[in-house]
Amino acid sequence: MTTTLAAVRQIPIAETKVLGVTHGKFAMWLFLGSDGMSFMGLIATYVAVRIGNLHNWPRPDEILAIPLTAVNTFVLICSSVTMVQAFAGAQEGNVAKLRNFLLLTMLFGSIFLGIQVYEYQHLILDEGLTIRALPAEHAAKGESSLFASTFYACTCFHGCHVFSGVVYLGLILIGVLRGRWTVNRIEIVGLYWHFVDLVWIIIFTIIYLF
Amino acid sequence: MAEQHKHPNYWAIWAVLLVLTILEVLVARLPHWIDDTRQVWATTITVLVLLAFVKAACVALFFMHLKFERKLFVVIVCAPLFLAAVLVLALLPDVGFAAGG
Repeated sequence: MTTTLAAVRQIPIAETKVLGVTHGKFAMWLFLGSDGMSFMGLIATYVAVRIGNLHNWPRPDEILAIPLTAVNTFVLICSSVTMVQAFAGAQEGNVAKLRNFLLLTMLFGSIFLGIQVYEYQHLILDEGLTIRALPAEHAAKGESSLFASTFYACTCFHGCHVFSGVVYLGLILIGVLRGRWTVNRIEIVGLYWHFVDLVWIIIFTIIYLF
Repeated sequence: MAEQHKHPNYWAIWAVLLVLTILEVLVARLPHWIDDTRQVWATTITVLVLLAFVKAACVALFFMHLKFERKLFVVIVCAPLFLAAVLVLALLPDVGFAAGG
């Protein structure tokens, strides 16, 4: 089968396909691969530093509020399922479903950020876990303050991703409201959002539960 | 590709993720409930890693539709996972063991 140049030019560049996916989607996956490596750098540092301080590492559950963060994990999982419903709405051409679920996803993302800010405020002001110091009773036991810095580095880097994600979703939502959207675009923002959820699953397990 | 396959049941995946999260939080309490020994900790951490892996796989396969992509594409996007493992192992001798943990 031959395709003329004119026919090729009619397909928007972001919609042409490579390996069965559109260029835009492929680019997002490449970005997620490199972004995943950035996260992995932080997580690997946490793991290595923790193994290096096995006997003077503070117990995370004595400092962090695990139930609160478990709720936050739940919020993020909910936001993932609403995102995928928005994508389903886009595929069905159901604009109302797409719009409502995008809004819900942004809402869940914002709730996640709100709880994280509340958590940070509680940790810094009430517990005394700052970026370079442990709470006094843990510091007195000679535990490593590396926990504090690695904890904030990982969770804050992730929080920034959620914030960017909410802004990104907002821009896409504006496009939807103005009737300027494609299924491809919704799928790409979905990929980013699910990736942020996926990274949180790893961070929650490694930093909060171990 | 995504347009051609039937939807997986997203709500079912959501329920699975929810149950696994609750399970994780409970498993993390095990050393407090049973015994605070190295063996219990080792088991707890192994189970937690497995649960996290299953959860991450659910998100990637169904929410990110990796299950429905071409094999070569899946190989390309999963390659960083191998590099990630190398990253942890490469840091261990330097930071992990040198400090004498």
